[in-house]
Amino acid sequence: MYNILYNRHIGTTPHSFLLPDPVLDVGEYGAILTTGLSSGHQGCTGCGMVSGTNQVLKALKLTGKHVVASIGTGCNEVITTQNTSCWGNVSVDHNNFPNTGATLSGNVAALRALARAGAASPDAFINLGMAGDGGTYDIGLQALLAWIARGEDGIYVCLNNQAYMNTGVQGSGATPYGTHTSTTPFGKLIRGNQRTPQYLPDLALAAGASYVATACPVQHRDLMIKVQKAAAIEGPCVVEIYSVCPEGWKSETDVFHEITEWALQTRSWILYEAERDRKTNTVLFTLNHVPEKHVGVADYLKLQERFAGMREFPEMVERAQEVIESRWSFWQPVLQANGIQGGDKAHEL
Amino acid sequence: MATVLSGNGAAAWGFRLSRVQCYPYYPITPSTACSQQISRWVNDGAMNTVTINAESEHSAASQIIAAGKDVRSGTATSSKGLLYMIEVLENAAGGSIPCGLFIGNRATGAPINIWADNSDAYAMRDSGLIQLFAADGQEALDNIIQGYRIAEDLGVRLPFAVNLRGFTGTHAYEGVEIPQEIDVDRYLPPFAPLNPLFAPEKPVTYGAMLSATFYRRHKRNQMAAMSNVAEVALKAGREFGEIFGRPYGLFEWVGDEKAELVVALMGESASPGDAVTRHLQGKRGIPGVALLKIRLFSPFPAREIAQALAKAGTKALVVFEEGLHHGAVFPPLAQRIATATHLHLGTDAPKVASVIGGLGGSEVRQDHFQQMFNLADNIAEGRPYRTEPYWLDIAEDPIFAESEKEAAPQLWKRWGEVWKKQARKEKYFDPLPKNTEEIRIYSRAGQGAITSAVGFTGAGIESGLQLLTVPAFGSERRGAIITTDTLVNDRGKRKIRSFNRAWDVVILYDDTILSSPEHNVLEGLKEGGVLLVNTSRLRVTKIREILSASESRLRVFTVPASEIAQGLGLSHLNMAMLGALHRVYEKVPFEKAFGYYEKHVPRPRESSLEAIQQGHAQTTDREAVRAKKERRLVVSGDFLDWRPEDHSYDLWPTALEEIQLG
Ligand SMILES: Cc1ncc(C[n+]2csc(CCOP(=O)(O)OP(=O)(O)O)c2C)c(N)n1
Ligand code: SF4
Ligand SMILES: [Mg+2]
Repeated sequence: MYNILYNRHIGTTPHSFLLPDPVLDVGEYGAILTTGLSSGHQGCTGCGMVSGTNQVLKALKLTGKHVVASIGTGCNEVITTQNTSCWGNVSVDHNNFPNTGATLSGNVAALRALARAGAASPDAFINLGMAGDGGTYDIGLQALLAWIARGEDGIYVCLNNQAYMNTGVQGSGATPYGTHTSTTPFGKLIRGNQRTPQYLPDLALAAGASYVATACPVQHRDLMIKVQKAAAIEGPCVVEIYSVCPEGWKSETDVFHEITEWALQTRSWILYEAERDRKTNTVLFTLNHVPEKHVGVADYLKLQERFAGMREFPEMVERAQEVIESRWSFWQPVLQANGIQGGDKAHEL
Repeated sequence: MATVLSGNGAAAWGFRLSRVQCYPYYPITPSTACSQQISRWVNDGAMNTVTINAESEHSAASQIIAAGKDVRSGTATSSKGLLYMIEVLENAAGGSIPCGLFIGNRATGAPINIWADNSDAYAMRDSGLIQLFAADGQEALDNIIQGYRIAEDLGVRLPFAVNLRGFTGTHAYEGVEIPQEIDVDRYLPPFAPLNPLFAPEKPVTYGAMLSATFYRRHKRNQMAAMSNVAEVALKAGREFGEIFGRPYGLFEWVGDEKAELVVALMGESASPGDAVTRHLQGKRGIPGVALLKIRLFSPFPAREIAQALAKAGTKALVVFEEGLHHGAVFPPLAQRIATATHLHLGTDAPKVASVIGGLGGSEVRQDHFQQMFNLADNIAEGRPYRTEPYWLDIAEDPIFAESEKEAAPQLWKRWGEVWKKQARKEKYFDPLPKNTEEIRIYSRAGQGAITSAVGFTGAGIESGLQLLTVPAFGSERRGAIITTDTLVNDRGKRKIRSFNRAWDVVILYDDTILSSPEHNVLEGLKEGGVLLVNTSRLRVTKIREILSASESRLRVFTVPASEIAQGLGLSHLNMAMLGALHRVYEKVPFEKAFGYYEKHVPRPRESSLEAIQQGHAQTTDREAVRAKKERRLVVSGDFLDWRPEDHSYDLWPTALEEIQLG
């Protein structure tokens, strides 16, 4: 357990409570000049993950350190490493699907051993772990939590597209309630995914992470600031990135931004970050974004055919809304402190 | 009446008909579609099974083993997934738990590779499971039902695995006879637990720790149970034949009864071997030939195989396999056969050579079998041969080489003497008679080519022909060029699963494929064959020009399929292409086929049927000129629309869902 402290201010700033200096506010300009993934990746048109990875690499580039990426099997790996590598000058270690956390640990250990031998300076490197939601919430959870529990320095990025996409859209532990996937089909008897997902930041904080954050590639300044903070903060840091997937979400390829905006508007994806002060065992929570208007989840379900079945059933939509409201209720103290009633700015008026 | 199913779909039927009560799963290519099909049935209420969306294969295996003490349980996996299960699978064997696995065989890497070979099956061979190899979807289905029958026999009580080669097996769509439920119920009685956990009257403990005295006895008993399998399997295979008309043995012998030259192998790779063997069989000027298709790999029927070879008077045995045994002299199958023949036949044993091929999805072709029979011929003549495996399709290490130039220098140093004494004999290499007609589609992933080919296959089967559709794809994302091949056999009953790769029809779903630097669409297209192109902007002469192909080289047809689809508000052009195919290829009669499409076409049905009609009507080999500029369709995934109503999705699987892999 830990004590919860809320940041009164809503929004994203380069300041961290754990760092003496702010990180670079690179989102708008600086990063554009740097390169992330090089060309030639094989991702689908409109893939959100490519953009997410790109921004992570751009943000890390600006730290001036060399990135060693331990990546788990999944779309991100498959589309960037087929018979070639799209990772530019990043060192990449793909070492199977269930073990991204462990691979990350192994590379952290190697760096420590090199440092002991006087052969490398830990400050010159960043250990980055990267995996999909399946590789994080399900098969890779043990290795990830163990890595966090070891308290090692590094960043773990989960590219969450809410299903196993690389193998053809099967339901994962991060698949939303009611979603149609190939293993949670919308059937006559059982209507889509019956589970509600767990939340990675909760799991990571419980395991002892120093810093956790959620992000999305559409809010690139927010994303890149968070990655920079994760790079600067000592100990295990976890960033979860919302990744639009036209293939698995059965959406058009050109509505990446719209879908993300709806996710933020309907609070289906909440942008926030949390930092742990180990001395006082306190976690400080910052909410980064509050929707302009109160919008029901029904709007989020529109552009994505994976929800085509559930949107016909009002009780299912209601249930999805309940899931959102219960998650959002955590932020009540912040909303109240900002004079936002009922959970969104519209109610203010 | 056969139903068109993929190998994975057939395996799913195997579990369904076996009335599997607990089915946990974890996705992995190329066997995922089996679990997807079962999820679909369960969510629709068509199958009464408790499924678990497991969080890893380790958990899925643990779950079948846990549940398998009280109920019939099973799952499907491949490659790393199977390797991840192995840690627990011993508990199924050691705990006498007769659960079932379906394995879509795949390479295990590194390097990561999602395509087929036997590495996964070989990695599990010391886990104590019965291992059966199926050559196609039908055999996978039949073997799963028989697997439970064998595994649950009181003299056996061991877990089993049914193996089917990835893609060419798991993703091949063909006619499969689905047994009647009542017949299967007669053949396979309900699960009878031996030492259940949910039995308050007799509580038991599984997984107790045993000291050496008890441990060694236990292991000995486990081995004894394994040695009962062959007899039980033979009986189960015979009775299966009595009820379903498809008897099974421990292995199958194809070819001459007296066969000096034999090629032995397991599983789906037998398809091209089958064609070659039948071609060489009884041919003048060469010794008797046979293909030994082994179904039961574990426990290995050593005595039975040795006897069969002795009876046939076999002198040379070439063992082909799609896997390695690092550090051993021979890979696993060759090693098992060599041990068997040596033990049982002594100095009369045939000489055994090992050939490795089909690794990581490498094609297994007819010419490979021609080479292997030629090699066997040389060995039978007493020429020297290698005591370590030969490899197929390694340019610098061919099976036959006449001069130093044909091989890598170090290899020539080592094997030059053997190579010099080997003779490549032309009589093994005559082109095979073409008993089939073959169609190849080049499309972009997401265009629905596989779905249309599967529909065509279903229509063809219903009209009394034998068809097989094999999509070739991998980790392509939307937009990548993929091929889908269909084979049509109108020569009667014998199953032909082997492509000659001489295309009668080549179809392009997209005219930009004409200029793809990576694809030569004329490759393999027969002289005078048909090229059908979806285009609204290119004329027939222009297409010839792009390909620099003469009038006699090929006949060109065009169809404005994108335009048709767009006009009808369809997001896929595949239905129009399906109609067009019927225009250029008439072996599957359009009228009859249309009746099939009326029942099975994907939604929206009216428009799909209209697209088929328009595609058929608007296909032309004339100079079609269109003023309208083509607008490329946005490929949208109307996922739910692709689910045909009722249970017809059993008949026309949503191939679209299988398109992504990893
Ligand atoms: C042990 C093991 N099981 C299964 C697989 C197959 N597999 C590869 S990637 C993948 C899904 C990845 O899903 P996720 O982590 O969500 O990443 P995404 O592809 O969605 O980005 C699966 C099931 C594997 N490679 N190894
Ligand atoms: S399947 Fe989804 S996550 Fe994978 S490359 Fe395509 S859009 Fe991206
Ligand atoms: Mg995912």
